[in-house]
Amino acid sequence: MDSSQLLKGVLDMAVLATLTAEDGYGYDVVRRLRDAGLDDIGDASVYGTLRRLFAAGALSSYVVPSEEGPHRKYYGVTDAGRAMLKSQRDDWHAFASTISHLLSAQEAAR
Amino acid sequence: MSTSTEATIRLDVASFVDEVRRHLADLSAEEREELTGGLEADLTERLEESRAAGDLHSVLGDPRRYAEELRAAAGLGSSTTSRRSRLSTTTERLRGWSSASGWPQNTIAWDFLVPLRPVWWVLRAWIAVQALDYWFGDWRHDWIPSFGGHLIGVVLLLVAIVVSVQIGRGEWWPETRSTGLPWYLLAAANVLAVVMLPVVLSDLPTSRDVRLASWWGAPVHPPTPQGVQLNGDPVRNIYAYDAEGRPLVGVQLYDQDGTPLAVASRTRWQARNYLVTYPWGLSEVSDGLMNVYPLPTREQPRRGLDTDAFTEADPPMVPAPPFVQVPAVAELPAEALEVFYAVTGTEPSAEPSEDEPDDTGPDKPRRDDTEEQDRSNRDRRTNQRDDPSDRDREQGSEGKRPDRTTSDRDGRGTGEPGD
Repeated sequence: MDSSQLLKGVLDMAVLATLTAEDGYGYDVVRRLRDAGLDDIGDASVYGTLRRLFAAGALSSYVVPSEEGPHRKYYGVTDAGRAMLKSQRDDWHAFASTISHLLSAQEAAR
Repeated sequence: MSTSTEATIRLDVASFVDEVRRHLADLSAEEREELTGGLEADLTERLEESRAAGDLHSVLGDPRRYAEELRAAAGLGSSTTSRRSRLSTTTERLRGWSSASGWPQNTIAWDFLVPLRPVWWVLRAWIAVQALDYWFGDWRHDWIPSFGGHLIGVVLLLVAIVVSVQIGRGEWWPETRSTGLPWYLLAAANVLAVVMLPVVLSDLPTSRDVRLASWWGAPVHPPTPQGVQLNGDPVRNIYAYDAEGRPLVGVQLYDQDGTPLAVASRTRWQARNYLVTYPWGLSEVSDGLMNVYPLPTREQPRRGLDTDAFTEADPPMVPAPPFVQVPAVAELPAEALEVFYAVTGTEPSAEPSEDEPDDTGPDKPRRDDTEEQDRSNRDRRTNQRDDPSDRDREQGSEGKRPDRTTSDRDGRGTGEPGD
């Protein structure tokens, strides 16, 4: 499976986790996700995700004026966002361990 | 990084973001701003970092795809929105104009037309191939362009339709940026197609009927003209002459089925007046008969028939005949007319009578249509008796009825034993 397909399901989580560490603007988030190893991530997917999380109340935003060039729109995680991340993280761990267990059991059986 | 490079980047980013916004035109302004607010700053940084200044498209790809991805990730990608986002720049711009015009009807009409775009894609392909056929093909032009052969026109048409539809779907044409050459080329081609449409259509009817006939097995008839025709032209009046070549007045004409041979009652514009053809026997209660010849005409300032016309100062007049006298014709042998006389009861006699058949003639039952004819004769005579001038005119003319004239002539000429 293309890793970009896998990414779609967990992008919310990845973005929330990134912003929990430190507030950031759009491309900043993209860069940090790429630095973390998610090379296939699309710029627009990240921006769209930010917008959706913002609309859902998981993120807050504020504009930081820039002296040279356009203003930057920074995002930060709200309490609701932190709760969302915790629940998703628990789901992910349970899901990941199940799949890992399944895969290793199948490998051992071979 | 030099300032000139920065300026280039800024310009490039601005045009890219503009285009992304255009592909999100169906969203509300608020949604669009939320999606693309700060995008310039992000993209500028992105470009500076990737050092691929000058062409954002090569770094981020197609703005349309970019917009789709943005929309999908933001959870705004419904089927209608994605379909509308696929509309070309031209379509979006036209829609913008129609909504900016302030007339809601324009927007409604436009929204109605948008789903019909595929019809135009096929039509313009057809126009293009027709135009090619017009310039390069033979003189025959048809609904399916021929190019002188049978198959090549069909193949070209199908290829053209595929190309046109693909271009319409935004597949086989460079992204139609508003400032780009491709957009202008496509717009010019569309305008040319619109201009060519009447040209192509006007050239078709020359062979259309023939071809349709060969396709459907039946000729396509033009609308049936009204009234008596001669070689396709309407007959306006008829002058009858008897066998000896003398002009007749009051001749009633019917075809073999008993249908009145009437000329179409028509009004012609002539010298600031209308030339109106009047029927015989026109009155307030009767429309008169248009199959009695010759028909009187009158120039009058009004269209249509005037029931009082014959009592007015300038009554309708029968125009002068084309010939005062025409050559006499050789008579038919008596046997040729036997059936005719037997049925009509107008046996040749020295003193023929119109209504009562001669005692010498066989008194056979008449056909219905003959009786009808007689009845209309009687009606007309009644009308004419009301008007002394008409009767005078009629009595002054030679051979009032064709059958009597013929009987007269027969009586004199053949001298049958029965007489």
